[in-house]
Amino acid sequence: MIFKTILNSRIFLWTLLAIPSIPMILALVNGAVSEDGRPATEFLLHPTGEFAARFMIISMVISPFRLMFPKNGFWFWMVRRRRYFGVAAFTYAAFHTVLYLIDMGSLQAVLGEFLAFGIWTGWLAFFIFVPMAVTSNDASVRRLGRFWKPLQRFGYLAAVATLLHWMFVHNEFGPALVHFVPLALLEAYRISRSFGSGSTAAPA
Amino acid sequence: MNLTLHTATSLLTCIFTFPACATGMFECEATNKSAWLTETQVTEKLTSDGWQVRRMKEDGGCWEVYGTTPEGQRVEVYVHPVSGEVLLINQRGTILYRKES
Repeated sequence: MIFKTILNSRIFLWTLLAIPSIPMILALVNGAVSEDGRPATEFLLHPTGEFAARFMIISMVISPFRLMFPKNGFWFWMVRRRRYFGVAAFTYAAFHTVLYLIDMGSLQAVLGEFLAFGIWTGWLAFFIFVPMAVTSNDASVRRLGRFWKPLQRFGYLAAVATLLHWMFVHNEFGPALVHFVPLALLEAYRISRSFGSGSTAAPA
Repeated sequence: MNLTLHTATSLLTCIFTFPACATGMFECEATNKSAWLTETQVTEKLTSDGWQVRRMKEDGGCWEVYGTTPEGQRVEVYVHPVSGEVLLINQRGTILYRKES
């Protein structure tokens, strides 16, 4: 009973979502330096971005999994907490962006590479995240009414932008695809289910 | 196969084949490892040309250097391991320079 109360408390979920940031913050506070001599502001760029992408992907796979396993209690539990994962994705993305700005060191340097393919795709994803995160509270859901869901659908564009940002800023496609191919497959499944059968529409 | 499924499959195919035509990876010609410049030598050469070198690693038979151009752009540079010539400059996924072979 107590276990269930803890499991369902907001604090528990926020703590769970914050855990990956603990070693990151410690490294930053202690001024840690990586083996190859990079400062924390630089070597944390990767993990912060990666966790932003991971939480974004988790928030997006909940609906297709729910569609796949309609009777499964876990996915039902997750559906009700989807916004938390979205906000966590935004928070890690904000952390990632701040580190990037510090690492670049000047506005001139930031603007100088703004149009590089691997960079503007990242900014695009982040700028989409901002209004999505700001409207992820109950009051906004109520106030926006039927406009809330279309706004959140910009998340698909953010996902594509994040994938391209990751692939091109790293010049390496493997790790990004490992994360995004499952999402693409689940979305394909959802699309085929909701349009293919022609009967019941998928819960978005 | 219905239209939607077809679209989904084409999208997936695109994701999988995209890397093949768009990768920023670079390959240097085969060279004898004993003739390679050391990291220090590469750093000295680039620094004297006005570059800043942060670190480097071996990739595709080249030295892949992370640093800053004389113009202050944060880039990854592929350097010929023996001659030290700059062969490719990649700024965050955008190719700024590629030596014509």
